[in-house]
Amino acid sequence: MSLLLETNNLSVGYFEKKGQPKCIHQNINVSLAHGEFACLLGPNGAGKSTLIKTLSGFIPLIDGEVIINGQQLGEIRREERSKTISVVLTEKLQTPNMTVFDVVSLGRVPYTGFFGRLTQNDETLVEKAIVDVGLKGFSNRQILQMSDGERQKVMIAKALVQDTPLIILDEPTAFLDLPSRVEIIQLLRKLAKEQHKAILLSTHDLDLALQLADKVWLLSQGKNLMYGVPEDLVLSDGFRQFFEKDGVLFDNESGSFKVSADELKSIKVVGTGLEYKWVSRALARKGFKTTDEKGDYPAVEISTDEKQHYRVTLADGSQTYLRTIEDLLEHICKQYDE
Amino acid sequence: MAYLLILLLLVLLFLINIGYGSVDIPLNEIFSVLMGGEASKSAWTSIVINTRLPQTITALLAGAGLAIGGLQMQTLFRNPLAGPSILGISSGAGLGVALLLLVAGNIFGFSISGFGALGHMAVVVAAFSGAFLVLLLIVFFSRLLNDNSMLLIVGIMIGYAAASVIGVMKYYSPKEDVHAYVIWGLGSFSSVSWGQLGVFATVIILGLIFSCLLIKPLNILVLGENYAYNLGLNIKRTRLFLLLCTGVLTAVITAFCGPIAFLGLAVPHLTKGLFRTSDQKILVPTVILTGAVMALFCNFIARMPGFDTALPINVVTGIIGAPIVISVVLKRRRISA
Repeated sequence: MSLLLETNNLSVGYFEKKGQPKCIHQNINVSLAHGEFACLLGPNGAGKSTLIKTLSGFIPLIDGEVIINGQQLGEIRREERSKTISVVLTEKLQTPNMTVFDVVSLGRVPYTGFFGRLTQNDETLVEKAIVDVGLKGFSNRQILQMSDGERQKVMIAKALVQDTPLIILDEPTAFLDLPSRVEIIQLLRKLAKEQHKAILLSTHDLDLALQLADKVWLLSQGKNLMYGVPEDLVLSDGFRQFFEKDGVLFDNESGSFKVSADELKSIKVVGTGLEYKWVSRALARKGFKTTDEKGDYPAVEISTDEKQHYRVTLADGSQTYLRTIEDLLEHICKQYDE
Repeated sequence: MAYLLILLLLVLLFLINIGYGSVDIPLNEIFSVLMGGEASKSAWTSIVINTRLPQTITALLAGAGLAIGGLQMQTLFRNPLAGPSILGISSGAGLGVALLLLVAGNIFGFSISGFGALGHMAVVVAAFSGAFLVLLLIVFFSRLLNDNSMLLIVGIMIGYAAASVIGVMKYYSPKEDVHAYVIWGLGSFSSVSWGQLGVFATVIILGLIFSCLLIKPLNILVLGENYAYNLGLNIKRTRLFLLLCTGVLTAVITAFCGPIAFLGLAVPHLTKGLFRTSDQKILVPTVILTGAVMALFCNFIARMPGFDTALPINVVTGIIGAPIVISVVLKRRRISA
């Protein structure tokens, strides 16, 4: 895959009043290839937004260089830039009397004439993009009547008709519910593959990024940007270094975050499969570590027959049968409160 | 279809404005005057040519200019309650007129209103100077501030500042001067003579043509500044052009007709409601036409029989404009709820 975007020792930040640059992040060396779907992850305040704005050309870079299609970003003329980079932002569009078609067709603006009239070809492209983002039949729908997720798809369609090799999205899923997030990110991945576009997305959806991104860019204050295939970053402890805070642990095994509670005691749990997993999880939330070796009492045994129950054995040998995990937790916690 | 309806209304109201007034003139006489002939009474010719025709043309152009200014400001600031007066330009004009009327009365001891045509010209110049000064101020701030909502606040603040200076002057001025100022503030389409109409019409028509050239940038601005910038729009230049266009239109109209309230704010909403579109290719021409229609309609109402002498135009625009603005606000609430 050939490179579309490349940065060399890039510093990003803002220029304050007297022209003094305030650097937020520096030494950024990263690249993005055609057809690649990359997710930019990082805690709040790491400078994700600043980096995104710099790469989209909204704010000037402070030092170093950004090369897009072999050309310095700062030297790309306005008209040409609008045909090279398209953006999708967090902000909501709330204009009355505007249909999906109206919004998407504005993506053709860099190509239309003085009054912005659409040609037959423009209209075909707009209709195609609306279908491509999964909004077939929605052309004449008022955008005010659409859900937030659908509205972001409209903006993605706008980016598609802008016909740029690079699409940059600044937290487009920020205010969406979980199913919409999954949908949007899957859609972007599909578009990167099928239409061979380079797509950069900043997001907080770590789980989704890990599963779907070709590359992950990790940004954190005071550390150099790390990027690579998500699995490599997990194995090299990247996520741990970048995200772990007091009380939040990244579990390299499951690829997700765990909230660490002070572990009280280890409990022997006997069992297998799904039930074992969820019982362990419930116990972990209460601060118990599960072990299958001989541990302290009480011990929990998960039934293997049809009748679902949990058998708890206490130190004195007394046994109790419980039906739900809720009862189980209550029973065990009671032992420790006494 | 709707285009034709508006055009028809425009022609109809144009004729009604000329045909209707405190003096009854037969219809055929009016047509013969309009065709360049003479009426059977020379007073009728004079009324049609020297009073009704310039007043009708003034109303038509002023309505069109204010309405398009309103559309531009509502689009630029993405605020449904913006209007051409939001930049404080009409307040600037008011300040100019107040300075002229009240200072001349207080310090030099004569009343401008006693000077007839010359006095009116002085008022026009004073109003335009005040308006233009505020426009320059706004342009200066627009280059300083990147944030449109900040600019909006600056415009409103300038308006307040001007109003309080006017208030101080009113407080210390004799009754007659204050009255003259109040009369100017009520607005009128009837004080533009043929001699002035040339200048007035030229500026307004140039402004309207310029507005049509701004259709594409206006359309892109609907998406908001960030998206517009990404689509290759030169934000600063577009903003400057829009401010200048609305600013000059408002300054000239206010100078000649006084501050005309509501038309600029209400007409864009009325048009959007009628045409159910946000496409400026449709909105710009229809807002211009609807603005002209509304101004002619208000002018006609103001001269209805029963109101012995004509009602001040702002009394009528307010009565028609206010219900429209209220209905828009209510409708907006329903949508967002």
